[in-house]
Amino acid sequence: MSNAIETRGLNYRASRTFALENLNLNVPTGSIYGFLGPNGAGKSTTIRLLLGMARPASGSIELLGKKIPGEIASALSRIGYVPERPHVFPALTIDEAMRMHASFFERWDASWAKRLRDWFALGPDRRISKLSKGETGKLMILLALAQRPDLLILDEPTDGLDPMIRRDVLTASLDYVAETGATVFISSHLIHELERICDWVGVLDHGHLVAEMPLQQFKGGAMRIRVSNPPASAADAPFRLVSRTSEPLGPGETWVVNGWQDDMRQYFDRSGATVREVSDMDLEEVFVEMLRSSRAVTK
Amino acid sequence: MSDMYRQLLNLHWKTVRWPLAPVILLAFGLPLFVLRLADVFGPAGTRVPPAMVIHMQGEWSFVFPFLALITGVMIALTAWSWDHQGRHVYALSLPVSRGRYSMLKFAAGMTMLLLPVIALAVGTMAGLAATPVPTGLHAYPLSFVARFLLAATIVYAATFAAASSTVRTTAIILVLFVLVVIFGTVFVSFLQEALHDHSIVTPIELLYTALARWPGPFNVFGGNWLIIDA
Repeated sequence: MSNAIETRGLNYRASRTFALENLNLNVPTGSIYGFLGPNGAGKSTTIRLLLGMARPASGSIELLGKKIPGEIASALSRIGYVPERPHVFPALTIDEAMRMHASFFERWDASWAKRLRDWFALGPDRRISKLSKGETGKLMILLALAQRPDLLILDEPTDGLDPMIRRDVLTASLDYVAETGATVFISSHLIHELERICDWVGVLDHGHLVAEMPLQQFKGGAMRIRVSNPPASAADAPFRLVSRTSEPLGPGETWVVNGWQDDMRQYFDRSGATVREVSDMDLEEVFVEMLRSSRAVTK
Repeated sequence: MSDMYRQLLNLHWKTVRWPLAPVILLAFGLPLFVLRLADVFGPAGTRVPPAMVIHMQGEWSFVFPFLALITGVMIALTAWSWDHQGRHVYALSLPVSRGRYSMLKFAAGMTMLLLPVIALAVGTMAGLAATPVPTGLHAYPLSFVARFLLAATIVYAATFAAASSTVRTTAIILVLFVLVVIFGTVFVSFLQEALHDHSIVTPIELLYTALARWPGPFNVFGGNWLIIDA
């Protein structure tokens, strides 16, 4: 499977206290890749590097088979980008912003842009400076989609938008992907939202890629298990231990495991432990536990 | 005319139109005012002496390089103002090279710059039509307008280049430049004293010579700004 985005050994120092280190991203072509991470993890910095807006200290980047930054102009003609902060010129009207964008993108689809504009209820003569946050968000996604990109890079596209508008924005993006098979790289900390749409996830924390895998694998068999008298080591466990924490009010521990199946209870029975509770976890819980575990290892 | 250029021209027009309006008015009115001044305040009922025409223009000629300076700086700064506010993200996400984007912006700004130049040309022609040129003197409207265009273009180009960078980079360059000039001057003064040779030029003198003396780019500001001359 080819990758729409591929980075190898990417290093970048943004400040004295923050750096991206040895970032190896693999975003499969045609996937909807959720780029997760807490605030300040380096998601937007990574996107700036991908789009050639900052130069890495070392490492390589390829977008749609084009080397970045050398072939950035050619790559950008096939990339729709929605930045974290809206970047269109506030003095323009919506139609002027569309015409401006169209002039730079050869694949601009004017009729589809108009349909999107009508669907989003964006009046053509309204000035951008007078738009609400939600309307600006819709305009951003309109501009990114109407250029018919092969790769959509969305940096917190729905952050701060109300649920109705979030749904509109995501629906428009997903319709486009369903129609064209484009790749989507979406950065967000709204994990529940990504859980519904993504098929791949990458987790970034403090500039390190903590995990990268298909969503099903990420969530697959993720369970929280409360155990009494747990074994000291889980080296021979049939599942993958993500984290283990002592219970503050008892002798037991809470384990977060991946790849759990019911017959694995025997593992605890054999080691003299007692499983008191096994509960499902959603993506957000897995994400939080993964970060906790990764930070504990780093310390 | 490419569509990109047209769109950037529209964007620049929307940004600059209000501050540019008084400049256009001044560019039209000032030559008219300066030319009419000698005629109005000349001896009643007689022809204005050539020396007075030149003197009156000379008194006011400083306004034209000043206007050229304001025009160039204003148009260059407004060319980049929205890009700076958006941290250049929009421009950097477009599928054109940075050089091409800058050239398109520069061309759009040059088009804007023509508006006050045209106003100046119209004002000059109107002033000359209303003012008799004394015997022995000649009108030089074309060279006057060309001088204004050249001066405004030089300032525009210099400011455009400086403003195209981020504020941080511009500040670093300016600070380094000032430091080189200051330390260079101190060092050359020290050398002059040590070698008893005052023919060694300081960086300030060197800079002045390179920029303001012919064929330096800013020489045009110090030249003759008279519309009617001998």
